[in-house]
This record gives sequence, structure tokens and C-alpha cells, in this order.
Amino acid sequence: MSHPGSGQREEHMQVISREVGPATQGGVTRLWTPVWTYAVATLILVCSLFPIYHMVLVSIKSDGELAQPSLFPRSPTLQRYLDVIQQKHMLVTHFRRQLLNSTVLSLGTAILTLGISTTCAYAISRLRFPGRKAIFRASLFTYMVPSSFIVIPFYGLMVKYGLVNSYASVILAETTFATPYCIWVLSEFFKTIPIEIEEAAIVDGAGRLRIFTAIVLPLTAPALVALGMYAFIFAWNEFLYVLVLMNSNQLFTVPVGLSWYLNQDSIPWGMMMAESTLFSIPPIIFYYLFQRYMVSGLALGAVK
Amino acid sequence: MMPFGKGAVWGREAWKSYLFVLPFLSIFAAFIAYPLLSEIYYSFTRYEIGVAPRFVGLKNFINLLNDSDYRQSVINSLIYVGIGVNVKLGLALLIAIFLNREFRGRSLVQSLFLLPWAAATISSLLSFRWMLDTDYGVLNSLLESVGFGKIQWLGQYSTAMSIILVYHIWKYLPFWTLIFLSGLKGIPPDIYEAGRVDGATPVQLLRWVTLPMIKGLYIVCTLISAIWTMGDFITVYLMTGGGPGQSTNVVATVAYRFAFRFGEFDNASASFVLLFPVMMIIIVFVIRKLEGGHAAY
Repeated sequence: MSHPGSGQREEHMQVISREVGPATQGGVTRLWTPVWTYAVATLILVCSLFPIYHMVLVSIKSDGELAQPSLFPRSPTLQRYLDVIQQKHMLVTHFRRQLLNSTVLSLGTAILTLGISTTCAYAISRLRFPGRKAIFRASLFTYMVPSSFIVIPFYGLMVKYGLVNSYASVILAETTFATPYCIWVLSEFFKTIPIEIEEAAIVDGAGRLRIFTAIVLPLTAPALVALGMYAFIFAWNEFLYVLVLMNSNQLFTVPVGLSWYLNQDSIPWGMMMAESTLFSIPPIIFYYLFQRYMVSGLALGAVK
Repeated sequence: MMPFGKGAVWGREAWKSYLFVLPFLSIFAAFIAYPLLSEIYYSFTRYEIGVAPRFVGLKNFINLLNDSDYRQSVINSLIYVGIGVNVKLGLALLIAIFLNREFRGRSLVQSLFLLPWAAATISSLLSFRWMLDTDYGVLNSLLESVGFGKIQWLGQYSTAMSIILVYHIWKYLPFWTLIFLSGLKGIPPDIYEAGRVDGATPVQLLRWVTLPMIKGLYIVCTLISAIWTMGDFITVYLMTGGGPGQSTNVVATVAYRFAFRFGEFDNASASFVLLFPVMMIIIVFVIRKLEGGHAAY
């Protein structure tokens, strides 16, 4: 979430660096600064992009080329994408079902997370009651606990209540771990809404709930969309909880379905890379749409 | 940094506030507090799913300390956290400082640099595995073309552990870089201006302005990243599956193995519970630091 006013700061800094930037400090610097800057930038980008490029490359190489180390496809093909989508290979017979599972679980998590975090964040930033500090601490605590640390008792709990193999079990787990970040960001966000707006509404006789739904939430809409995406991707990437809580091909999400390939004697890498590429498209689109909102609340809080 | 703004005092109606926090409190109680406490309880019992737990004292912990797989997993977790977190955050800070400068194409570089973090975890993990394939992987092919022999990257402890670290750093570097970048942007530009007026060189500004200003954030990030890395499961599980043998397991994968391969939910719980003190100390320290409100200074 972008810090209120950080945009102005950013512009201000740019102005300054234009005025007295290192490039104005003499001929040699002026020549070498760009050279080493782009050399470093290229090195960073090659390292970070190569594995992604490799994934797409393998997915479009023809079968004959798969075993060759060439870095460019000679006769690229989209056949594997078609095979995956049409479920034409014995190993992808559940792809569409698993994609649906991933989508349902992620959507469920996003909706539930938003519901829980908006109300809680509003109370933390706007209402005064005994224990609100403790509640915020509980949420920071949850933010930091690694989800794997409690997968054993969580599984036990789900067995006890007959929720193993249900969407609900995974959605509850993901919501629990996605909520604290949203509470953190939203409670900072609510603080930036002028309290006078709400006070005026109180004078007009509006109740708290009405103020919350009719005034605060609409003002928060862009942040809510971004946080909804955060929760969506959080669940989209989940692996351990689905592995533990879901017990059949029909119920797996795409990541767990994909991991099943690794048990094959001969791993169909081309097919796997096509499926991996398809599965990465939604999160990549989300990140780029909401990049400026995705800067963590962690930094937001800590640099204050 | 505590986000407590000006608030409304409700007087007699203060109880209504609790309606707003009730949903979060419920999931916290049911899915964080209760599981954590029951895990501690399980670690002192004989416990298999479907059978009522029976108190056995410290037996599970003694089992674990005598279990060479578990001891190895603790060592690996220490390596994973110790090297992984420090290299990752050190690089992240360097890249953040690099990206905080003005140059043409900077925002394009920054956007592309985010890609490893944006792409699904499973996708890049599998891409790494295929790159590392002994017979057909692109890495060995490149090595062969310059005259080296084939290396079984995931077939021996030292290289397998290194690959796990490389993947971890590669995957999470952009996230921490972004955080440091927003931290750097939060440093008031007046300080740099004042420094320049006094004739400070860019290196001096970095040493005496940037680093002291970012220190608090860096420490908090190191600690948070240490806890998260300690709990990472998917990297080791899918990269090596704990192999070769059981040599590259971390605590999370060895506990998974106890629970879901052998049904030993007691040993699995105890594996995690042994890490609880470290986790609690770090979390309490971080919360204090954040509440102090001067984490950046």
C-alpha cells in the first residue's frame, strides 16, 4: 500500500537528484555512471528472469528439441498448451477441475479475508475500547507465525470436525494467515480518511455500522481490491495445507496436482512447464495491475 | 507505528466495538491460539490421529534428540536461515540502493525484477528442477559445452543444499528489495540535501545517512524473514524432497514426514514445539520494536 504522501516525496527526491545528481560531477563520472548502471541492471535482470524464460522456452519447444540445451526454440509450438487445456494427456486429466479448485479456494479466501480484516481494522483505527492494543498485537503475532508450524494441530482440528477434503478447511486456513497483513494495511489506511467526514455523519444521526458501510468502505475501495488480490494470490500459491487437507486428484489445486508429476518414472517436463506457465499468468497480471499497492505494510509501518 | 488514530468514544455503547473485532478474534482463537496450545500439549503425549493422546512426559523430545534425521534437519534449518536470510537481505539492500537512483529505464528494470516474486512458486520451482536435470538440464549442457563433466546437482548434499539456498534467495529477493526501496524513499530528502551542502560524497552519504536510517528496518526485516524462512516447507519438499537420503530436510519437511508418512503426530508436534521458544522471542522482540515507533532510526 503506498504511503500517503510518498508520491510527493518521491517527486521531491527526483527533483533533488536532477539538481545535484552524481552525473553532474565531472566528465569521467558522466561517462561511466551509465555504463556500470546498465551493466549491473543487465546482470540483475538476467539472473532473475532466466528461470522464468526457461519455463516458457521449454513449454514451447518441440518434442525433438526438448533434450537440447538451445536457448531459442527452432520450431516453437503451442501444442502442449492445447493438450493441457483440453486435458489430452493421461497426466493432465484433472487440470480444469484443479484450476477450478484453485480459483474457488482463492476467491473464497479473498472474500472472507476482506470481510474479517476491514471490520477489525476499522475498530483498531477508529474505535476506542479496552483490549484493542492486544487485538492488534494478536494480528501482528499471526502475521509472523509460519503457517507450517501449526499444520499438524490444524489438520487434527479438521479431522475432528469432519472438514478434511472440504473447501472450507483450506479457505479457513488461508484466511487466517492472509488476514493480519490486510488488517495492518487497512488500519493505516483508515487513519488517513479525515475523521470530520464521519463526525458529520454522526451529527446527522448515522449509526456506526452505517458510517462504516456507506462512507468508509467506498473511500477504501481501491485498497480493498488490491488487498483482495493479495489474499487471492496468497491462497493461489498455497501448497502445504492443500497437500495435507485434500486427498484426491479431484480436490487438489494446480500446485499439488503439478507436484504429483514428480512421482512419475519419466517426467513430462514440456507439459509441466506449459501448465506452470498457465498457472503463473493470473498472479503476474494481478501484481502488475496493483504493483504500487503491493509495497508492504511492513515498510509502511517500520519507517514511520 | 501503532495505527491508533483519533477515535470515537462510545461510552455505554463501547461493547459494539467488539462486534467489529469478533470475526478476527474468532479465527485467531480457533486457528492460531488453540492449535498452538494443542500442539504444545501433543508434544508431551503419545498421539496418533484417531487415538486419544496419552501423556508421556518428555519422551518425544528425547526421541527427537536421538533421531539423526531430526538433528540433521535442525542443522539444515540453521544453514537455511543463517545463510539464506542474510545473503537475501544483504543483496536486497544493495539492489534497493541501486534502484533508488535515477537512471533512464529504472522503472522498467524494477518491474521486470519483480517477476520471480510475482510468478507462482510452483512454476519457478519446477523450472529450476528441470534446469538442474543431470542428463537433459540446461545447466549441465552449458557446463559440458565448456568442457566440464555432468554434475548431479540434487544428488549430493553440498550442491543440493546450495540449490535450495539459491532458489530461496532468487524467489524472495524482489519482495525484500521492494520493502527496502520503500524504506529508502521514506528517508527525508532534506537530510541528503544538508549533507551535500556540507560537501559529503555519495559514498559518505550512503555510510552516514542511508545506512543509519535504514538500520532499524533492516533488523526488523532480518528477524521476520528468519521466522518465515524457518517455516518454509515447499522449497525443500519440492526441490529435493529431503534427499539425497534424508540429508537436506529442514524441520518443516521432517515434521511433515513424521506426521503424514509414519503417522507420528506426536513427534511431528514436538519437532515444531522445539522451535517455539526461538519463534516467540523473535516475535515479541519485533512487536516491541514496531511499537517503539522508531524502527527506522
